[in-house]
Amino acid sequence: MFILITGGSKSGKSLMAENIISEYEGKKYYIATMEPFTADAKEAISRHRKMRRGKGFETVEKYKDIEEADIPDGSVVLLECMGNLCANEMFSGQYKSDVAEKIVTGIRKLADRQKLMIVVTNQVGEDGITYADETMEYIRNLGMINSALSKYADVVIESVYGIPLVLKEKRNGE
Amino acid sequence: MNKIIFITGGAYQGKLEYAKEKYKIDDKDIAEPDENGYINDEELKKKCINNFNLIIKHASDKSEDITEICDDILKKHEGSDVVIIMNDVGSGIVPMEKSERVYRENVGRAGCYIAKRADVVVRVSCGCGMAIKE
Repeated sequence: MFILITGGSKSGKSLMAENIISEYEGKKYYIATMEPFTADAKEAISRHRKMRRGKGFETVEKYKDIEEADIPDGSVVLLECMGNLCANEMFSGQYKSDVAEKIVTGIRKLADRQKLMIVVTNQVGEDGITYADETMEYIRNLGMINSALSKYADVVIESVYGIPLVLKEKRNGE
Repeated sequence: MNKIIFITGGAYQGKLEYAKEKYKIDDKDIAEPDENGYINDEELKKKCINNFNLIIKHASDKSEDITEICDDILKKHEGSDVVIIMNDVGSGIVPMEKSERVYRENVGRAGCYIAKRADVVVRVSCGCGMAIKE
């Protein structure tokens, strides 16, 4: 089972993901993609840690090369968030042009082996502002990743201030 | 029973028009913060509060507690219907400026807070309202 959850900033995506996961049995892994570089990042990480406390997650930090994540087969996995993973692949280390493909392949490889995998992603292309080339490339990559993962997903949900809008739901046999 | 109605969506999607038609709101019933997000207490008692995100901006700039701001507005409308309209500003690139980041995140938090307490949540896109909670 693969679920993609999207939405704007602070729109309740994480809580939604954690609520779905809490209904599943099995070993739970949280793949954290945010590098604690800035004060903002540190604050976000500590806020999310607090939210997950007591929910039985083992945290695995993986800032890029998601295909190499060390997660046993048949687990329940939450990855957060795609926006950071994409930025890390693009901007930390050598620039790569095939980031979207690399990430999508990595996620599929990982998700195929799990009981449940939820990826929390972001909507970043809706403010109508034209940014510098590399930021536009980031918006394009994340859009491509979201579209590709959505095609593969069993369920796609947009969180609107904590209210789930089901954008896609595969029924049996489809 | 009084109702809390929360209308969200991107800028210029027809949220106010939708609210006016659907909930029979006259222009005199609309509370509008100024461009800095300032609004006086009397105005806040009006049935419809437009551009609620600007009120959140004002509160963010002053480092005020966002849930208190929300509670205060809901309290002013105990016993009467209120229609809160807010621009969705969280679906873009994370701003470079700290104050803009705080504002953007606080709009998300305020949205979650109001949506949880609302009887009806409508998302308006291209003038079309979709009730996502009823």
